[in-house]
Amino acid sequence: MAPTIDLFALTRDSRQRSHKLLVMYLTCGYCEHNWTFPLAREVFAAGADIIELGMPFSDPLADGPTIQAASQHALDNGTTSKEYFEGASQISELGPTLFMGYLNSVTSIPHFLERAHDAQLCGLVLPGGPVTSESFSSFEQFSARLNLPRIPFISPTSSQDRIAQIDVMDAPFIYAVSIAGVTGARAQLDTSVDTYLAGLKKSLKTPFLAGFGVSSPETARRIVSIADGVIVGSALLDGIGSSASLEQACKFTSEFVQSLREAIDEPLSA
Amino acid sequence: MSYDYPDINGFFGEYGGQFIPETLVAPCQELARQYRTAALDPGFHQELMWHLHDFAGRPTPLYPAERLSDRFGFQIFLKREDLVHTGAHKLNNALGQALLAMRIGKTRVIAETGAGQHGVATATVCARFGLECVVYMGAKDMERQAPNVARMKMLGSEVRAVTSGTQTLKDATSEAIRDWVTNVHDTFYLIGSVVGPHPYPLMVREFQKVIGEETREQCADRGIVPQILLACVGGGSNAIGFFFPFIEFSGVQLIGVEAGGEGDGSPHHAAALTRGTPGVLHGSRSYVLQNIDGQILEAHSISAGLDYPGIGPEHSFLFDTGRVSYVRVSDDQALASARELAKLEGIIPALESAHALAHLAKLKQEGFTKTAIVCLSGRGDKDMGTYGAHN
Ligand SMILES: Cc1ncc(COP(=O)(O)O)c(C=O)c1O
Repeated sequence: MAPTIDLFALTRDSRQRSHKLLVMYLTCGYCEHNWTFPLAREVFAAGADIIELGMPFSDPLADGPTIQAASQHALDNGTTSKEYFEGASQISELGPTLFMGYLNSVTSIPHFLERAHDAQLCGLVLPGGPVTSESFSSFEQFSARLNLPRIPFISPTSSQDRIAQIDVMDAPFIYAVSIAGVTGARAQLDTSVDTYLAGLKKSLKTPFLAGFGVSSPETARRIVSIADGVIVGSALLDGIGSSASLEQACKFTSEFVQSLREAIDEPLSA
Repeated sequence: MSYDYPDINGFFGEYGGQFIPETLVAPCQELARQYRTAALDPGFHQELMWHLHDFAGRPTPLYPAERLSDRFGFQIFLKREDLVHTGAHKLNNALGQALLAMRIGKTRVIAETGAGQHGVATATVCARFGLECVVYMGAKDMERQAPNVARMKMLGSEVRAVTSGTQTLKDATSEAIRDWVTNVHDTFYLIGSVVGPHPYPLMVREFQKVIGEETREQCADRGIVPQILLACVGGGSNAIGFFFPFIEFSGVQLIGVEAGGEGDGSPHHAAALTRGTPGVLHGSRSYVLQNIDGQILEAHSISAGLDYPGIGPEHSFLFDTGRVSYVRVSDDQALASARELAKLEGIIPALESAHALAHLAKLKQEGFTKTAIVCLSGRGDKDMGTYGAHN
C-alpha cells in the first residue's frame, strides 16, 4: 500500500517548480461500475496530477446538468459508499486522489472519515459547503486530526475579508470557482475571469486552482497563466457519457487529458 | 422561560445554519443583514401590515366550528388561513419577502413550489409589484396541481418544469437554488417555507407569525382558552407561524401533523421528523428522509404541499426538546377528514390542512374534552382533482 500523499507538499513543490497542476473529476460508478478504475488509469497516464473522485449524491446543489445526470446514472446503477471507498483505495494507488461530494454523505455514512483515511485519500472537496468552520467546527477538527484536509472554496462573490480569512485556513490549496454558478462545461469563459483570478493571485499566499466551466485546452491554458492549476470535470464526463463502450471512453479520456496537459505545459512565451 | 432562537449563525440548537456553496455565502450574509435592518424599521412593518390588511384580507377569522365540535365532543375553532387572498397562508410570507426584495433592489424573483400555493402567492406578489418571476415546479406536481399552474401563468409568471430526480418539491427546490447561485446578482430567492439556509427559517417564521399573533388576540378578546393547537407540517411554515406566539405558554399543547402517506407499515410517507434522521439538505441541518449512505429518499404524500423529505430546522429543534409533539396521519385519514369538514361546515380544506383536521379523531379517542384550534392553512380548490379521483 502506498503511503498517503501529502497534498501540502505536493502543491508547495509544484509552485516552486512552476509546474501547473491538472486536476480531473470523475463520478464514481459512471457510466458503469467497472469503468471508474480504467478511466482513472487513463487520466493519470495522460498526465493529470490529481483525481477528484465524485461521490454521487441525490441532490447535488452546486452541480449543473452533466454532473447531476452522471450522479443519478451512477446511483441508478447501484453505486453505494462501498464502491466509493473501494474505488478510492484502488485509484489512490495510481496517484493523489480526493473525494468530491456533499456534506450529507460525509456526516451520514458510518465512519466516513476513518474509511476515507484508510482508502489513502488525501483530501475532501465539498462544493455545497460548509465553506468555513463557522457552521461545523467539530467535523473540521476531526478531519484535520485524520490528516484529511478539506479544500476551501473562493468564488467571485467572496469578499476581501473572507478571502483573507480563507487564506489563513491552512489548506493545501484553495478551489477558486471561476464563475458564480454551478459546475458544467462552458464554451467560453468571460474575460472577467482573468481579472478575478489575477486579483486572487495578488491576495492569496495559499496555492489556488480554478475550476467550473473549463472545457477546452485553450481555457485551461488561460487559467494556468494565472492560477496554480486547473480543475476539469463536466467536459470529461460529457465525452465519457457519449462513448459507446469503455474502450471508446478510455480513448477519449486519454486524448482529452493529454490535450489539456500539453496546453498547460506549453512555455508561456509561445 | 425565554425562547431566543436562532442564534447569530442561524442555529436552533444543532439545526439550521448555512450549508451552501461559497457563491451564496456573501449574498446570504447580506440578506441576513438587510432583513435585520428591515425588521427594525417601523416603516417596513407599516407597509407590510397595509398589504396584509388591504391586499391579503387579514385578519382571518377564528371560526367556531360548531357542527365539527358536536361531532367530536369538544370545542374546535378553525384559524381560517384558507380565506387569505390566493387561498393559503403562503401569501403572508410572499408579501414580506417581496417587500424585502424591492428594498434590496432585486428585480427578478424565483421560487420553488410543490402544491403550487407558494408559486401562486409568489406570482401574485410579483404581479402586484411588477417583478419578473420564475417558479420551479416538479413535473409530477404540475400534473396533480394543474389549476395552480394555470393561475401562475395568468399572473404573468414563467413556470419551469423540473424533470430531474423525483420531479417533486425536493428537486424544484434544488433547481431554484441552482438558478440562484447562477443569477445571484439580480435575483431574489423567495423561499416558501421555514427551510433553506439562514436567514430563511428565521425570516419566514417572522412573516408567518401573524397567524399565531392574531389567534392569540382573538382568543384574548373572546375569552377563549385553547389547550391544543394543531397544524400540518410540510416544511413547517404555517405550523411555526401558528405556534411561535404560543411557545412560551406552557399550558398550550402544540401538535404538528406530518404526512404519514400510506401508513406506518409502508415506506411511502413524508414524515421527516418522526421517521427520519438528522442530515443536511437544501442549505441547513435538519431531520431528513435518507438511506444509510445519506442519499435523500423520495417522500410520498397524497398532498403535494407535504410531499417533501425534509423539514424546517426549528421543528427539528422543537421535536428534540419536546416543546412541540409531532404525529402522523395517513393519506386516507386526510381524505376522510376533508370530506367530513366539507359536509359538516361547508368548507373544503386543502389536503395539507386536512392532515391537521384528521388528528381531531385521535384527540377524541384520547378523551380530550377542552378546546382545540386547528390552523386551516388553505382551501381545497386545487385538490378537487384528487378528491374526485378518490371518491
Ligand atoms: C395549504 C397548504 N398548507 C400547508 C402547506 C405546507 O407548507 P408549510 O408546512 O410550510 O406550511 C402547503 C404547501 O404547499 C399548503 O399549500
